[in-house]
Amino acid sequence: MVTFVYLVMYIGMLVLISLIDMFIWKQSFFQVILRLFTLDEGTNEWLIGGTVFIGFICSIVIDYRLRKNKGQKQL
Amino acid sequence: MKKRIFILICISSFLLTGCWDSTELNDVSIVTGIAIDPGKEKRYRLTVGYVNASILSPQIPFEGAPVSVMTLEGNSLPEISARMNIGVSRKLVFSHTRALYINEEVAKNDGVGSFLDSLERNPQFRNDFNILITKGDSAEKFPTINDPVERVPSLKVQKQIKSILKNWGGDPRVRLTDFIDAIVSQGRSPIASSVTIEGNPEKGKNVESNMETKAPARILLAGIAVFEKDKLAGYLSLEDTRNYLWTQKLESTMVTIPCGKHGEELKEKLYFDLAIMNNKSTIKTFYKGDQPHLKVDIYSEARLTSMQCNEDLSKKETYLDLEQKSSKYVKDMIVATIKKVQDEFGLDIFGFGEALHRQNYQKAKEVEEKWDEEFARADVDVNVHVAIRRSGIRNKSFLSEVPANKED
Amino acid sequence: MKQQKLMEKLSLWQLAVLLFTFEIGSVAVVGVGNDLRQDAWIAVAISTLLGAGIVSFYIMLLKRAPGKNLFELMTISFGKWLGKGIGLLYVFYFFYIAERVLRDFCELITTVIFENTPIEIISITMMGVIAYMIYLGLEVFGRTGEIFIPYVFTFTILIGFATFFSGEMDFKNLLPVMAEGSGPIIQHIFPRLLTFPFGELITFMVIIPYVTQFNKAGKVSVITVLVSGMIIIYGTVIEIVTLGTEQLERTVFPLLSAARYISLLEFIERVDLVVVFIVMFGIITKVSVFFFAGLKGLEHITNISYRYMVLPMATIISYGTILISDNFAEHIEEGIRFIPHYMHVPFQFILPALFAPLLFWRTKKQKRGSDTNGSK
Repeated sequence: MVTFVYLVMYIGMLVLISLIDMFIWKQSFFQVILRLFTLDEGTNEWLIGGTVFIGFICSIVIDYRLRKNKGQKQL
Repeated sequence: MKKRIFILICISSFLLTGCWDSTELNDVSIVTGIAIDPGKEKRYRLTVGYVNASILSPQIPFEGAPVSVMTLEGNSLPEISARMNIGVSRKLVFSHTRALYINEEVAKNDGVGSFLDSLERNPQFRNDFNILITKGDSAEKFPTINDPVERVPSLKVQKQIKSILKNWGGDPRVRLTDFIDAIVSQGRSPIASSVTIEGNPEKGKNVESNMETKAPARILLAGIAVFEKDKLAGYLSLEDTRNYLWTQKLESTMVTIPCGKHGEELKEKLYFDLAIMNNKSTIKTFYKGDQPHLKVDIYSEARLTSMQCNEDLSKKETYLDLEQKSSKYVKDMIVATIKKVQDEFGLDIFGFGEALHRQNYQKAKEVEEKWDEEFARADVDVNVHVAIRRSGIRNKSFLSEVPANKED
Repeated sequence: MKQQKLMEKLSLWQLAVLLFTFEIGSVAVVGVGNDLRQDAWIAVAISTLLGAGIVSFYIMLLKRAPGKNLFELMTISFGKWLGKGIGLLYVFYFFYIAERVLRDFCELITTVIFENTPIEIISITMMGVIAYMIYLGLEVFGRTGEIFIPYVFTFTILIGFATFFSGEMDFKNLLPVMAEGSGPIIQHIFPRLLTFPFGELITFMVIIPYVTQFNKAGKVSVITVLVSGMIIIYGTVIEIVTLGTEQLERTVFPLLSAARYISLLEFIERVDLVVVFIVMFGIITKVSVFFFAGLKGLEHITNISYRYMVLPMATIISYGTILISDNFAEHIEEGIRFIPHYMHVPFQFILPALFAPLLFWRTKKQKRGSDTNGSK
């Protein structure tokens, strides 16, 4: 469930940000998405990419542990 | 378990960050003076004077030069200062800059706007350095003139300016932001102070010159440099600088006033001196019909510091008389300065336009575009009231009690 | 899990502290009403009064169903599914604003102090601190506020006095008053000043229900809003009289620029870091409040304790902080052209105004129902 929420939030935030960028830059949706995902060489954008990935892994781990706990309780 | 993950992430984030912005004190040189000259090949020629910190420590006996300079050419200040390290060992830090010398050639031909922007934009630069236009010699000589008392040349200039502002008022008290505000403003023209070198700058470079009692070279203040937008238009004398400051915010000054009635020539030139202490000045601009009027109200408190006139200071009538004389005299002085600025430059350095903007916004909007012409043709009206309060620790002058001269 | 059953309670004082720092946080970074030049403080004064009105409207809504937060109110008024859907929109809104606020701060830090440090690192580390604080719960958050508030308050006040005694203030800069008439002021108040920083208090609809003495919460928050409004006016006046209108228009971080003028006795100088301190705490509070509100919404939607989601969501926020704009100009332009009209106004005024009548109707029915049950 946490993973699901994570994905919903991640995609939702992306859509929101790209909508606003579309409004500001007057570009099409795909151009904006492309711009958001291109990692500029030399900047440190990989850092936040990594952070988000850590977040994703964390949410999977949390989900797994939640399920395990639930199973134990039921047993 | 969750805590462990949390701790792990915290630690890793610390490891990742490191210290990007750490700078050790040993790795920086503090710049105190910057000089800008026109470049030969490129646009500017920048000279920085940075402090040789170990020389300044009181423990070590005085030897070596207190500052060291480096000159480079380039097209913009940030570029040149970043490139300085081709000859300078340490990173240059500009946050303690005390003086910015601008060659008058640069100010006249190129304008100062293009590099002032980089100074305003950079958070390293504070707003506490003086903008100085160099008259005569090229600007790069100024950060090198040694001074036995302050050692660091630019610090000397700054202290000098601070002291004269306190005692006499020969500097327009303009900082970077004031200057830029004035460039932008429609109702005020920018000014800066100007400096010259007296003596031989080549000799002044040498630290040995500090051994001499009479310094071979000295930096002197030389009044106001008037700008039209960001280009130098001309200079005003030190007297005019003081008078300018009187209309703005004068701390204290000294005026010498002839004893006789105004215009009347005395056989002997006799004067009395007033030390002006408290000043209040208000600037008003208004229109009578189509004619602009500039009005300055000045109220000053004074203390009498010398008396050559043959008058009895123990009487209150004498005080009144002297007050009237001095008010008239000061008024004429200030009117003359304003008239001079009107005639010579036609640039409103006093901020009358800003006053109009505050006092009559609609009218100010109307004349905003041609304010300088309006200023040039405006009527000037200065009201001065000098109040003499006391006369030191004597009342009558001993001169008045000297027996009459034999010659009579 | 035991942890999740920790009672979350705020005292009234803590609520006031959070409200106060929330209000002055972002304002201390970017300033308000800079376009209005010398009249900015008038606009702030008017919008403070209006802001107090808005807050009492929010409180009135909360009073209809005591103990229920914003998301639960929406479920009551819109029904289960529609309520949750709109709740999700609110979560996006809160997270997005949290990202913007954090970006403000990151820009300040990277321009003024850490010029070489990548902005990503600052966003990640700040978010780490905030995530940890939120993870420990609302109480810890409140207590952190209590510890810092004396410093924040005194420093804010002292900055004004210090600039005054440095002789850098020119009160003539406040003239002419309302030279262009009241038109520009009104245009500026709505929607920009009213939504930021006052309308943003809608996030407190998630926090106020956890206050121990809920009855007094309304009075306390209105008073706090008025007090913080006065501090904002104070700050704005400092900025105007110190910087002058010309500079105020050009400066990016007004309060910081004003503090740079401070020079007392040739000894107390270069105190702009104090401003950064105020700003840092203000921003931590502000981001935390938005983050917490968003998390509470997720908790309501998914029925999983928000503590599980703190870490993943924190990474999303630090990610979004960087992603929302490529450069500072874009960030500011979004803040002026898009955010007030299309995000603040709908979420702060239109939606609450929509569900208010529904809420009244539903709660009335409930109350009547419970009354009739009791009489039986």
